[in-house]
Amino acid sequence: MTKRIFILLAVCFLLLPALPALADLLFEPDNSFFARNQQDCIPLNRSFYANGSNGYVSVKTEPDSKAEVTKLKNGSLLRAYYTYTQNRDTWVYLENYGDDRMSGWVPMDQLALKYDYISFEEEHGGDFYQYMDSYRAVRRAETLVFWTWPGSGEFTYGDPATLSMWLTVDKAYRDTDGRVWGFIRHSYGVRNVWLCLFDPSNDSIPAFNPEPVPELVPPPEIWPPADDPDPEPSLPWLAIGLVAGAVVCTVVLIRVFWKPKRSA
Amino acid sequence: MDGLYFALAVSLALTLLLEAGFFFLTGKRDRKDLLLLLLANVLTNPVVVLVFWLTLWQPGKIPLELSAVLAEGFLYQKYGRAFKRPYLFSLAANAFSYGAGVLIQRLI
Repeated sequence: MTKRIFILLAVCFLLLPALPALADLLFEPDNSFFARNQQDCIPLNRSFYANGSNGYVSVKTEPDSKAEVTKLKNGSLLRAYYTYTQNRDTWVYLENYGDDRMSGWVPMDQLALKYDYISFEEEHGGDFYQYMDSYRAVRRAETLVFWTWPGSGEFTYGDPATLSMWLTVDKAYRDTDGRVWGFIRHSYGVRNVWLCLFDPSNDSIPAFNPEPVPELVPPPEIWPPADDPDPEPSLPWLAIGLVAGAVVCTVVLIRVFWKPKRSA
Repeated sequence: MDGLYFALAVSLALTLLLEAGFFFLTGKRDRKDLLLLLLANVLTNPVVVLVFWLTLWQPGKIPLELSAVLAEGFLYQKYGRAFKRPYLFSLAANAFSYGAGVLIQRLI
């Protein structure tokens, strides 16, 4: 009696998280490849331009899948958050928000990297140095101008009231005109930006190092393009065969080694 | 498709482990009945996982699971030696393994 009560309680307890499920263990496939393989995905957080060889990229639901989320013309700007490598191919996880909200996977070799602060560091990192000089100009500034990288021509404004008191820079760079730039990795809402330390309010610094324009394959004239012809069959025939084989073998084993109970 | 093979293998392995555990938990000790239980799950679990994976049809999950319960219960009734209430045992064992499996997935 006690054993039956214990078993009943055990079953009820374990049923609680599984409602309204009924029986058997079913390893549920998750439509989100990223959620299933998060531990193998490496953070990236960089922007790319679509640059497929046919003039567009096909965004997939998961790497190597035939299921397509959407097609994007070459030149579309995309934000990539993670990479995943399988079979020596690297795939990039993209997300776009707003009206064209979508997420999916694209092969890395169909993308062209958008020049950013990391690219600038890769090119000029040998000239970086530890900044030990004054922040006086920054603290006295009425406005602060943050640049994507020195000489980019791209900037945003910052609030000196929150930043100037505690600001320190990770590294500094002196450009060919003698301006000293400081890199801010993270400070009160500002992330990965450059500040001209002796002229922090100047938003007219010339773009002496503008973003290089990547060479992209032109998008097709007809949009949307026709789907790829003759797609490979999507049924996993090997898996179906294995399961069918297991069923047949099991049935044969049971029929051979077990005798049906005689009815009373 | 690598995920499918992984899902098939993990589902079956965990199901066998948990249902065998339930078998002993209910006080059963007949080895041939244990083997029948394992084979019954080899028969039903991969089919259920494969069909659900291919269709991804959420409402179909309950009928699939019920079919598995009925199929296993039928086998226990027809070939089992010490299953007093075979269909009830099948239902309870499947519920136990499913619930435990969900808990394990949440903990991982």
